[in-house]
Amino acid sequence: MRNLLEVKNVKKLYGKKEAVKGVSFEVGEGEIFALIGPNGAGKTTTLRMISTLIEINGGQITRGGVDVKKSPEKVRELLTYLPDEAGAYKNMTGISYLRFMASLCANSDEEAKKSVEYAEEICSSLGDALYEKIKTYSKGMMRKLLIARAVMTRPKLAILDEPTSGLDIINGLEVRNFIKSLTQSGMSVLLSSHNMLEIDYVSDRVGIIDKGLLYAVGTPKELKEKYNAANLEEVFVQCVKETESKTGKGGETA
Amino acid sequence: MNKTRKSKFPIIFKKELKDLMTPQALIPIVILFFLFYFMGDIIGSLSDDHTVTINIDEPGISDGPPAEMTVSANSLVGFIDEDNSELSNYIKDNIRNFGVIPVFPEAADPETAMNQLESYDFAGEEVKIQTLIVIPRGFEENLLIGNYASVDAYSSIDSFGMTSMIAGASAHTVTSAVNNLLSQRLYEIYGGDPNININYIKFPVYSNDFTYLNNITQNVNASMVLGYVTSQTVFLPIIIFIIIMMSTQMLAASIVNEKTDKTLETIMTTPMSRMSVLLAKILSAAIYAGIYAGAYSVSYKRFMDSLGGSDGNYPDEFISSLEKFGITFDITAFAIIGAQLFLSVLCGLAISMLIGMIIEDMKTLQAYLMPVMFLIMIPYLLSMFLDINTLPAIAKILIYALPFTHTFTAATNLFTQNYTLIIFGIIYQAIFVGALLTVAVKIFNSDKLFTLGQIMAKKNKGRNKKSAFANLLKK
Repeated sequence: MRNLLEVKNVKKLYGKKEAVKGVSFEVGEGEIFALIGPNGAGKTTTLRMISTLIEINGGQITRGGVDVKKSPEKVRELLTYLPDEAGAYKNMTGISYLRFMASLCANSDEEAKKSVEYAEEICSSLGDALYEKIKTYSKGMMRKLLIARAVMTRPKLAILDEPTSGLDIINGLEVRNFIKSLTQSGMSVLLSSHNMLEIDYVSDRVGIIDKGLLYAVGTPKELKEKYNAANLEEVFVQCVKETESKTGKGGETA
Repeated sequence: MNKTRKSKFPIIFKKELKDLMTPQALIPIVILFFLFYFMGDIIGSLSDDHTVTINIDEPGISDGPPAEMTVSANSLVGFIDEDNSELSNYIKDNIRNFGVIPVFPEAADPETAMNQLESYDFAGEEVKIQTLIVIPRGFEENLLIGNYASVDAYSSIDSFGMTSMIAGASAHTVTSAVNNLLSQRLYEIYGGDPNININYIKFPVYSNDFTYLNNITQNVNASMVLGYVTSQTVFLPIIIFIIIMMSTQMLAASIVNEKTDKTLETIMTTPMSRMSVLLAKILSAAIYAGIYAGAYSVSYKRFMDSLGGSDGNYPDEFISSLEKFGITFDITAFAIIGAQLFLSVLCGLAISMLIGMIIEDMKTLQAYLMPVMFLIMIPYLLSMFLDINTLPAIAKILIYALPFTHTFTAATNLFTQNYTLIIFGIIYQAIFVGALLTVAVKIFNSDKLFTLGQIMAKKNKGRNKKSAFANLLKK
């Protein structure tokens, strides 16, 4: 499997505070890679650096061979980003929001039209609500619309930050199943969550992150076996403890 | 056991008061306090400037024993007596009974005399005398054959603030005083004549009004000129104020709204440059403000027209005189005002961009925008009530340090042909805007756009935590 994204020893400073302390991982083509960790672990900061929203203070990120720092606009053509708790323009209808976003991302009207058609297909469960103002949407409807927006251009890499955060069981399951289905079309997904059970279900590989350090990377099965744990929550606790006792600080840097 | 229940009211009251008395809420109060305090001082100092202490035995003032008195500079009036008759001398000798102190410039030509009176050495003090009365040749002759006589009343306008309004009224006061004096005198002469017109006895003299402005004299009434200028200079700042306020608020709200909804993050990850996003925001805010101002201008002008306040209702001769004074709006004037307005709008937009970037929610934004609104309101209010150019030097420097002031005073500066100040204003505003925009664009293009607000919020949170901890320690 070819690497689509390479993150090498990436660091981020907020003033004097090091939010990300040298994180490294790769995402392969058609792979779902998840960063898991508690709130404030550095997941969102890492995703924001990859999606070119914030600058990196050390290390390197390449997306398909293109350096994120050197050519951010080129990188943005190849990925989409769905922020945590993102919203949409409330005075637009769902369909007009999709059209607007498609026209910003596409290089031609034809391409934009195709993107909108695909988005309509993804959020077909919204029915007529797609033609209503976004301000009338529930959280679940909004999330579906935003996920459709994030993948409608069929990017090589979709970055989804906490995609099921705040959703009820049914909507959460629907979104998880949809994310899983994305890889069938060759799309790679990089997502973050603090819901480790959800990640266990949806992702091919997992990176455990806390306090800006990446503690372990592997498939959920590998990690559970390695740490002799029943689920990823136990894996998280074990690996943080183990690495800290070994190194005094821990974290995977290679 | 008899236990006294402690009232819970002071606890909740203290909490409510603490919630309201935040620095953001207190800053506008402090600014408002100093604004009016400062304005009061300025207005006070203006009236101080217009008093002068004189010896009342000064020639032409009094024949009595030497004494000192303080009079308003506005009571000093220049006189040129071309008639040099008994009646004209009677006026000069007795007009002080009506609170008018006559002075006599050396020049016989009214225009040169007006020039001399601009800085006239009176009783050892340099004063500005804004009114000149010329008693023409044949004045007494006309009156003695029962004809009405005229005096030429010259009023000088050197600014368009409160002091000029007083000067405009002064010529009228002197003419009334002359009529009162001559009315008594003529009654003594014609009192017994049954055929004499009583109106002639009451008002034997009418004034032929001249206005001296920008070194030009025109045969127009100064009050009318001031009325015209006021209608223009009051109208313009309102429009300017609305444009700057609206565009500033719109842009800041737009950035903060997008940050709150996280739509900005989404937009920023599309294959579009950040500058395009920023430019679109600035332009749309400016256009919205322009439309708002346009609608306001048209409706307000219509309103002023209906009240007879616009130049549409002035006679052609009057407009022609205004043109000679250089106080009508031509294309150059509109271009200058437009340029200064544009720079002020850009300045407001740059400030609002900076605020929008460091604020994370709409509630905090309102609190942070309030001081900016005051920065716009201070020159707006001052320009409505005063001619800022007549203020003491320090006050002038402070007020002109606000970049918005230059736009609010643009019309007045054009009317007084103060081109140095106009050019300086444009350069100052351009530098100010350039610096602010550079900083704002730099931040917008960096990740500080997303991190500054969070850092600020964390700092505030930390401060609150610290004080909570300090309270805990105290207990």
